[in-house]
Amino acid sequence: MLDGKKHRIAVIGAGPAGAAAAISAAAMGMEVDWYDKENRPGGKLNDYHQLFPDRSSAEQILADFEGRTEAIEIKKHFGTAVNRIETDNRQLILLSDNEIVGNADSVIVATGFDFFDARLKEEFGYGIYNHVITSPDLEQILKTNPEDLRKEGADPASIAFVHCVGSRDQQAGINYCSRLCCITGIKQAIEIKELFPSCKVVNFYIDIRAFGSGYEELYREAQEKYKVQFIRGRVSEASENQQHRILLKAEDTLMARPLKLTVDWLVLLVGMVPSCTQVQIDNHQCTDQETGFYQPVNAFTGSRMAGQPGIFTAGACGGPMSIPEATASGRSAALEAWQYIKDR
Amino acid sequence: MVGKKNFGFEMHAGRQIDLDHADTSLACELAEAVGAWSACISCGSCAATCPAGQNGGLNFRRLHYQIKLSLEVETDNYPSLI
Repeated sequence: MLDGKKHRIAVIGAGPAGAAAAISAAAMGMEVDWYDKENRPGGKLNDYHQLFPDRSSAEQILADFEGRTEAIEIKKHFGTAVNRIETDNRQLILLSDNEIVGNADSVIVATGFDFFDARLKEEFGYGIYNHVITSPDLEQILKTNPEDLRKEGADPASIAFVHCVGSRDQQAGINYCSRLCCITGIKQAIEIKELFPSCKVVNFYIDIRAFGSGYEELYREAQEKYKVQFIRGRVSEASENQQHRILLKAEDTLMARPLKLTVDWLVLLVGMVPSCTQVQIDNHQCTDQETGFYQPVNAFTGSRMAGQPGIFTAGACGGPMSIPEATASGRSAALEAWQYIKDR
Repeated sequence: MVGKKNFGFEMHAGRQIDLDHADTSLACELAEAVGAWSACISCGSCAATCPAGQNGGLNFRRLHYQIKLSLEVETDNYPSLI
């Protein structure tokens, strides 16, 4: 409450960033309307098994968020896809398919990201061969039924991961690094070795970018404890043999020699791309022209979005981001929104 | 004298690394016996300053990597090891 008057804030997106923003804004005394296109909160966290680097249970983290959002007064509007924000006399009007669904003094946009569509990289055979899957597919299998990775009852003999699928790839029109695919591949490789210790696990990488706290340690652990093999070189093509195994061809760039490997499963570590459900703001160009992610006016000083004042970004709708980074940005956006309302 | 006998053609050993048939048991043994074995990140600093490398072509980074992938060690570069 500011000056005895309750101020309204809308948070669009119920993933980790949106949850952190909604919880923080409510804790600061603002009236919070929380929107998501899905009927339940959590966003992609609902589909994850374990989180890096400490292998926390995604279900547990989700339950923690849900507990905290239940304990505080937040109006939930799940199943409502806000796709446009308009301004009317300093009020921000939220629309879903041209129908007004709410209004607010300030809005935090936390619409998240999508995974790169691996079918665009035809050479890897995703959508063509049954045993070529993506990292979110594997996460889902690990969460629901890891037994699905067995072939005719036998443990898989070998599994390969390909890094940078839809990252740092000019052919795919994506020049940026998604940053988190490397550590996802390392974590998933360890999970595979724990499930199937005799399985040969090979990661094909260009560079390993283990930037976060505990990431490098996990990278070392994968090699030293779990004997995961890392080959520097991107897989050039994948094809299926008569036994429905996947034959990979790559260059080992450290040896400058071509290499072949046959695997039971090929996992593509897909990058992060802007969400297809981005919110349009008064016909303003709010996204970075090259990456398509939302762009703040000044990334050094805050998360206020280009275009209308009073609108802030949080989480991976502003670019590839880990869950701890997304929640921190959600809390920070809530504080900025509070300051904006207080000062206007 | 090129190709009188073979018309300029000759058979080469395949250069392709066959990871399907790589026997990594030696690499595993070394990893168990020498703690630092697994710490290699192929940065090349060992090879950059090794006097045997400057004069005789020894490349410890390459040797380590060849053993890791179970490749045939290029003994021409390592006469003192034979």
